[in-house]
Amino acid sequence: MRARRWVLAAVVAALATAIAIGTLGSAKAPAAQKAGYRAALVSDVAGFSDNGFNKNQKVGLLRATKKIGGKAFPIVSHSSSDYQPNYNTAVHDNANIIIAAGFLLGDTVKQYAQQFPNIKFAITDDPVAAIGGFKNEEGITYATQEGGCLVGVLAAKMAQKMGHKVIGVAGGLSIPPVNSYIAGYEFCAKKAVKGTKILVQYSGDFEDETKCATIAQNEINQKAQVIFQVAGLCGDGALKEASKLHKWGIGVDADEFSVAKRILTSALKKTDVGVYDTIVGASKGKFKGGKDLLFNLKNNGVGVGKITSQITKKHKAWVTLMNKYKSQIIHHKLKVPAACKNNKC
Amino acid sequence: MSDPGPSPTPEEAAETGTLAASIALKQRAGGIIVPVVTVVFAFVMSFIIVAATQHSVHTALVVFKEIFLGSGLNWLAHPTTNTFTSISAYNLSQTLLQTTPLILTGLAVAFAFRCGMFNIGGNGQYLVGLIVANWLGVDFAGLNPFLHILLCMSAGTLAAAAYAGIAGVLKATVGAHEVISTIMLNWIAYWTASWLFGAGGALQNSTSPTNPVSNQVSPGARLPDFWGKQGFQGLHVGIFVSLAAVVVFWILLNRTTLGYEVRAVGFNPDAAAYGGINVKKNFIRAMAISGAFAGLAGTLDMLGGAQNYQVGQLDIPFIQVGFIGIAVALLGRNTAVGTLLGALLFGGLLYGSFHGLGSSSVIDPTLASNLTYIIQGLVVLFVGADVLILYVWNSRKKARRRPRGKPAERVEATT
Repeated sequence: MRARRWVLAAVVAALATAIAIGTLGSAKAPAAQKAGYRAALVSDVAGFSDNGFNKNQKVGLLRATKKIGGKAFPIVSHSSSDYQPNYNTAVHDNANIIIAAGFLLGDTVKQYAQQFPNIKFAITDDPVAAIGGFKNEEGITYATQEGGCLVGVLAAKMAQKMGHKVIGVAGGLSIPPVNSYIAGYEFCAKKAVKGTKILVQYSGDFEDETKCATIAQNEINQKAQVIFQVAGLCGDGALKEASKLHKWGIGVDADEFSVAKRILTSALKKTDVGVYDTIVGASKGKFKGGKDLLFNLKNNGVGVGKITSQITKKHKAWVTLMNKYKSQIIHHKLKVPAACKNNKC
Repeated sequence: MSDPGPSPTPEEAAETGTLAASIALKQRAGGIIVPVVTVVFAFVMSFIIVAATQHSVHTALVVFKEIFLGSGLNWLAHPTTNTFTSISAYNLSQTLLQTTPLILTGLAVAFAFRCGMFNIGGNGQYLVGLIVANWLGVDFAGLNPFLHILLCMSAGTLAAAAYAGIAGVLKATVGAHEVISTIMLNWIAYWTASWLFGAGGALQNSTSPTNPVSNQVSPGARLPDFWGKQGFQGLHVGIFVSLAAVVVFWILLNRTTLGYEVRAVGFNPDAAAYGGINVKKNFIRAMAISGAFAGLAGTLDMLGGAQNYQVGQLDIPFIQVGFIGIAVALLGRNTAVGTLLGALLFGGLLYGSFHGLGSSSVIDPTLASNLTYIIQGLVVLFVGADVLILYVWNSRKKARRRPRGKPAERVEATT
């Protein structure tokens, strides 16, 4: 049958080309340069072009390797089945330290840390206890409830002035890194303005703007005046929706002041600072194996972004009040809970 | 020649020398040449795009070399089996891991196509297979491993077949177009999975209640890895199931009454009905078989996943295998072997570009993943254009032949 011969010929030709190029490629491949400190960062499924969480970590990675004269390996994941191959890539790139960009990579970190005791591993947003607690692991944790607290104060004040003491949250998933923001937000909003009501809804998604826009719409229908987004790219939809309906939005992780017209402020998680400090520290032999690094208001690892001129010009007292909370937290006079009551927000 | 069939096939007729048969052969050959030309065109176009956007031909060369090395196909030149010392072996094992479900979703689309239907519901059917396999894989811990795997695979496959059958029934009874109904069924499966695996869902991880991922299937229900380090996402035996499915697809379509009816309905439903074939029954049956292929892909991915391959809410939006299956089937011209080769191409392209360029020295890794989508898009575009290529091919032939012979009837390519 001639048609089959065609298929056979095509397959043979393809294989021959493959082998030829392969031989060519491997012959030309230069020996890996091992000079300098090599740091790898594996993103979570959102990739490095999200609204800040992964993106800022990459910024921290590049800044750190530039500072210490090392080499950076930012590696993108597209699905959770990419995590393993990406760690394999990092190992084959002879990385000295491999940083996981989020707690979703926890299981993979645990496996590789056990398999490769001579490589250092760190993970953003997860305590080291959750990934096995090995000596070559470090957790990079953030007291995001402290940032959530400060934006909660401004949100409660703004809602009170607008006539309804109701504020909302558009969350991604009910997971600890999201809920700690919400816990702080709720705690301080209720403390700053008695009787403030909090509406919380989860989109189940960190990507799709329309889902969070729907949540913002629902909450605004229930009289919410300010929407705090804790849902990554999805949450930007909530900010835009709130602006459209002449309410206010609060950004998360990165400074999202320019995402929409009416942004009150943003709760910052400076993931770049965490990654930077971890890499620079590890390169100088200051790796705290089996322990967690904590980034909070005190060491400027979390904070508040740009505040709208509506507040800074007309309501300076609110900013003063917020700063009072801030100094109380820093001086341990106010303890903000990291989880909602009964772990339910 | 090697074909034992009693009646002369078009090829054999061609060798007897009639003009119509020789043109048929050319068209049949075109059936292989056209997809190859399509792929080459897509690669050339994307090469031009990379070279133009990076302002360097050299960069584009490096990029395509990195994609090739990333796919692990260079392993064929230096075969070693240890996937932890050889990056190329590891890459090839991962490429084949991606190819495994793509073969099946490709076959799913191809089977429906052969019955004249467009199954866009591969993603939803894949998810149904995945959910059922997870449920049974977790719940029947302690069962004999062979029986357990068999149970999960067959139940997942049947569930997906029934799920796709809904679209077939709707088409057969009320004439609802299968494109619309399968797309809607995709979303139903998606949200069902979201709900089941989400926090508080029935199939959600029972040890960490705040983490929206599934439980892991019990070790007994896991498809064993035969290439790679155990527990580190090696290549599992599911690929042999996929390869067997290719054979089943071919036999079913070309050597059974069922396949004959399916193809007859695909060529012309009215003529098939006139010939005494129950068209409605065939719509339902073909859709169910199509769904079975996609569902089987889901069960393989669930049972074959490495230790920490979990499917949670965050993963589900990223599952694209059903849609890539459409491109695979189109490229493979809805034939068994074509689909297999198409799946291998897309598997290599996906893994090669994501991981070969994942830590590239010449191109931004974020751009790299978009490059994969560009090549994918171009392939689909050119596959759509193959009708045009065939037209040009044939009109060139006709222009030469018109003075001597009469125009030949068109013969469908079947392999």
